[in-house]
Amino acid sequence: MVGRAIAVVVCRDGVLPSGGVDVFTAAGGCGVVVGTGARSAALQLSAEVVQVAESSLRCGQLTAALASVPSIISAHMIILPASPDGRDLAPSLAAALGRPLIPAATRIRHYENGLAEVVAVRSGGSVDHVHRVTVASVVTLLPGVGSRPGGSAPERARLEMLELDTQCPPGIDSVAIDAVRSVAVLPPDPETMDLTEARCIVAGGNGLVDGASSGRDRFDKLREVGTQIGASLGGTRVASDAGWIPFERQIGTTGAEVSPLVYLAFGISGATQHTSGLGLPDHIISVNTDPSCPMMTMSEVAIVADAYAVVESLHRLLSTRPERVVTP
Amino acid sequence: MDDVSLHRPLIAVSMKWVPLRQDVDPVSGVANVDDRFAGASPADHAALEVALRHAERVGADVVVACVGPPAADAMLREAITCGADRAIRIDPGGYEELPDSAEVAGALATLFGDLSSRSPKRLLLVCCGDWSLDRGSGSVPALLAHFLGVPHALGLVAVRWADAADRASLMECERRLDGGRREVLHVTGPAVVSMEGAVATLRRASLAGVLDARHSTIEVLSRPMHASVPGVTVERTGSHRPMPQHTARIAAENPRDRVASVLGVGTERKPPMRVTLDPDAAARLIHEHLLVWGLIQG
Amino acid sequence: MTTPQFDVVVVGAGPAGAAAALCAARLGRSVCLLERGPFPGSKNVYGGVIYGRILDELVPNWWDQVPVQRWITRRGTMMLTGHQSMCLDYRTTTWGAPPYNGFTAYRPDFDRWFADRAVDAGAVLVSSTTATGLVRNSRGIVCGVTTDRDGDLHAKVVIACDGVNSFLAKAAGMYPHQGKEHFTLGVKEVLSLPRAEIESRFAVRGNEGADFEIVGGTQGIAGGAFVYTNRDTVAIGAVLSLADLTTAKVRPEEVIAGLKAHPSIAPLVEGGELVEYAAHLIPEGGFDMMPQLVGDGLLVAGDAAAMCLAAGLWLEGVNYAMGSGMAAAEAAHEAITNHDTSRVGLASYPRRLEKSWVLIDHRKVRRAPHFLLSDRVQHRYPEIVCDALEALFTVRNPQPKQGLGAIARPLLKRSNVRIRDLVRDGRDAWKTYG
Ligand SMILES: Cc1cc2nc3c(=O)[nH]c(=O)nc-3n(C[C@H](O)[C@H](O)[C@H](O)COP(=O)(O)OP(=O)(O)OC[C@H]3O[C@@H](n4cnc5c(N)ncnc54)[C@H](O)[C@@H]3O)c2cc1C
Ligand SMILES: Cc1cc2nc3c(=O)[nH]c(=O)nc-3n(C[C@H](O)[C@H](O)[C@H](O)COP(=O)(O)OP(=O)(O)OC[C@H]3O[C@@H](n4cnc5c(N)ncnc54)[C@H](O)[C@@H]3O)c2cc1C
Ligand SMILES: Nc1ncnc2c1ncn2[C@@H]1O[C@H](COP(=O)(O)O)[C@@H](O)[C@H]1O
Repeated sequence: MVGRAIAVVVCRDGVLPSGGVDVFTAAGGCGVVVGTGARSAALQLSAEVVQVAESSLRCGQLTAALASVPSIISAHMIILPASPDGRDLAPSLAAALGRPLIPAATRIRHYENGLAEVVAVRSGGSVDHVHRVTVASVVTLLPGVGSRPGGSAPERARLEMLELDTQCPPGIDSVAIDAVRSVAVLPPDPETMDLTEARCIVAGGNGLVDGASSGRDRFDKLREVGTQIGASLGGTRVASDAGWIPFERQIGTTGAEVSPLVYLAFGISGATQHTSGLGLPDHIISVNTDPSCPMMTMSEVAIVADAYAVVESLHRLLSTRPERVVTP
Repeated sequence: MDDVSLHRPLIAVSMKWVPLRQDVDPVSGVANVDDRFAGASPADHAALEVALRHAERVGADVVVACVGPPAADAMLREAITCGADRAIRIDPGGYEELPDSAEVAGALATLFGDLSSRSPKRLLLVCCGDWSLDRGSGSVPALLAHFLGVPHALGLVAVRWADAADRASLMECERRLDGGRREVLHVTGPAVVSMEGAVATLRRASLAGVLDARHSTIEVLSRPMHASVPGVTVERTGSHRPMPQHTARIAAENPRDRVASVLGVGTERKPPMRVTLDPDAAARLIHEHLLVWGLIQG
Repeated sequence: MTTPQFDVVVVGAGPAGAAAALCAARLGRSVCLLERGPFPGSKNVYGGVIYGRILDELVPNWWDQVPVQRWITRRGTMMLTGHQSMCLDYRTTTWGAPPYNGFTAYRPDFDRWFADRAVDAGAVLVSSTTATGLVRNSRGIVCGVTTDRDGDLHAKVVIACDGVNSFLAKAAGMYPHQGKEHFTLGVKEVLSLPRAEIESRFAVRGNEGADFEIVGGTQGIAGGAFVYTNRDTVAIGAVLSLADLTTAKVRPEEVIAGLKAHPSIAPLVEGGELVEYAAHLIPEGGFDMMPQLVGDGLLVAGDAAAMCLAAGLWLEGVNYAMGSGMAAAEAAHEAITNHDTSRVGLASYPRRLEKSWVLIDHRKVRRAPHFLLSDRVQHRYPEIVCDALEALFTVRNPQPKQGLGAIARPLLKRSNVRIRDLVRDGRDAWKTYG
């Protein structure tokens, strides 16, 4: 079955990981969903054939079980999402099957004769490597390709139940497996959430600090406002360079590429290096003293005011109001 | 190979020697690496610190290993300065290209396996960074776990130790899941853990330690490796381009209408609002919009 | 844990520190060289033209090993007004062959190379370690330093080579001058250009290079400017009065932008891609502002001792830093041999300096800062000279050519420069530079 690709997605409690939809698209519609609540997770896919395996196996056991599934063994390319669970599984699956691993792909192109071209990011996201692949391989795909809602309407997939071999493979004993035990899953916390996953972002720039000596305090206040409304904190390079926010919180071409639904910009001029990392938010609010800067012109609500004064007012207002954050 | 101490369990740390500063040519994507600014990444430093702290709690020896060129000795020496008992460098030869991750993991697994072969319980923990800065595949730790036949806990963002004496060897760890969720894990080992740099800051060695480390020995093993695997070749490199975003299918019949709908011509659109307000009024306006957009709820 | 003990601890592995460490180690002393950066030179991005003569004594045939960008064989001295320029352009092949004169180098390369020579001689280099204070014995004599690591470092003599605004000299109360007027700001941009392009624009070949020092063109801010060539980059920068910068509210980047746009400079640097921007204080004020050089158990050398010549026609610090570092090491060696590391025992340091070219040069140009930063030299002379040359060379047929005197007099008058000033400045210039 040369040239056939298969998606492998690990789900938890019926929730697909980010990028779960993308891998099915990249694999041409066929794949395996494995995990707890696998069936309801599979129903969220628009795909052709989905093999569903209800399972709570982890680590080595899961690898061994999957490595004996015929459709996986025969696939020319196994594509997993580069989500936490996918990144966990992919290397050992590759090793168990004796196949090369190509991690962090952004584009996969299949050719007739089993050839494939895989573009993957390296060097901390600054370089693309274009791989030519002529053998059966395992690829992890970064989330973000076509995963925004509003894509083509899901077509109901054909589901096939898959029995996994839960026999412990030789070399792995159950005591060893217990050396790492999952004890809880904590709900999202916008303060610590990866920016790239945030639904709403409050961000600040040079204008939030505007020469004041207490840049960090001001960003702390903004972070608190973010917590009040369920938004994560971000900023411009000026802010990360000055140490007001850690580097992971910088948005833009040399920072994180994000795609929030709502973006609140305080004292940000909107340089292209910044806005090109912004995705296409549905709503943007901007507070700036300069009504004609790019950030203001691209905003749905552009407020001419002192950024920090507004942040303080908003903080005060929100702490006296009964509203609560809506979790999706 | 001599033994540090036979009856003490062993904690291994794998540290990669990476350029900490590199310029990427925006056109060719060729990374211009400045070797002088090279060393362990913050994540690998965190791994060493966690290993040292855990070793202090359970009374274990710490071995640090690296697959890398002779220049990496400085990094290993630093690890000894900080308290590691032993440092081993596996020299892969051919320094021009980075060795394949699976081979690196294989070599490290063999080494750690050898060190603990005398007693199966000896290898307590292997600590790694989550991603290496230069290639950043994040795959070596998972491969290591696979080759060693032990479970893994990858991408940790926090590590805590239990206070109770009878649970001294239990580490409570947190790692990222999708959608901002976190998973809490209890790790007793043997296991491979990999972590982000924020987990711990490496202690600073004392001045006397730094001076002594000049005389410490780094053991070197030679194990030639390949840069790539057959069947996968890097054809070219370029600077990173963001992924294409798929948008909804456009329903329009003819090309003109399609273009118009992509550009949003003629569609009804609320004009943007541009206002000058005092801070309190501005806050109220923002608040209203957040309610309307459904981010917060009354 | 026993406290590590050395004969000499040198703080800062810049040119001054490395020279001191190298020299002390050669004299048989145990030396520890402390550097706060991950390697010597990592914090020094202000590289430039280095004059190597002083190296003859320290590293024989240094030119065979030093990490050089280009050997300077062309030295231009320029005067700029808004739209004019005058250049005294000197070229020689002598400077392009051993023993050479000056060269351009990247400081991270040069400083590392130089500190490695000290290590070869037996000095112990400890990097990523910052000296945070001085340790004194019961008699108040400095006997070591504290660092940002656990444990002190003990020494018979500490040599502070920690650069401009020396923290250690200040900690010892030896650095009275801290006002704006005592520093200038050095700013520099490094622009990348193809190697062949640099060679054609500056009319140099192979590993030859050019260095232009410039008076005027700094937007009314007192100071000077420079342009020099590396292998495949061009450095352009200025040395600017801090006081002027503050009052004029001009940003240093704007001064460089102005320079780059000047019709005589633009063709040299156009199209270069910015690879580095750096700004750094330079001790200025010359001989008269040098801090006390000797304390009990403590010597100060290099920029830390304000031994930098940043006065118009010259921008030299590296060679003075090395010279003073060597003198400090010799003085320390002698004091240790005589078992007296007090201020008195170390007193041979200033004497050595006074006899050497280091202080002779500085004394000679002690007036240079006042002279060069005077309004006449900064603004009016470049205008007068350029206007005079323009009048001289502009052909106005059928009018007859004017004599120089006839050209100069109205120009002087227009710019309010009296003959008396001219004579005085001429005398000052001769005393300073002659
Ligand atoms: C190669 C390269 C890569 C880059 N990558 C990135 C990147 O990844 N991310 C990034 O963000 N930038 C990046 N930059 C930098 C980018 O070009 C801009 O310089 C930066 O985004 C500007 O940040 P800013 O908006 O905070 O600051 P500024 O541009 O200084 O804007 C401050 C804004 O605040 C307003 N303001 C001032 N005072 C107040 C006040 N009291 N109240 C309200 N508003 C006020 C001003 O009107 C102005 O609009 C990059 C640049 C280069 C050259
Ligand atoms: C823009 C500019 C251009 C210049 N161009 C030239 C030129 O073309 N030619 C020339 O000859 N000179 C030039 N100079 C001057 C020259 O750079 C200095 O005079 C020279 O570097 C002085 O050497 P130094 O060893 O005294 O100090 P530095 O080179 O400043 O070295 C001090 C060292 O001490 C370290 N250090 C500081 N504090 C501590 C501490 N507490 N603990 C441990 N280490 C510490 C620093 O990291 C540094 O490595 C220029 C200066 C500037 C700013
Ligand atoms: N060559 C190597 N030598 C030692 N450890 C390594 C090496 N390569 C990767 N590692 C470890 O694996 C982690 C993840 O690296 P990578 O899989 O390359 O992204 C690193 O942080 C190190 O802990």
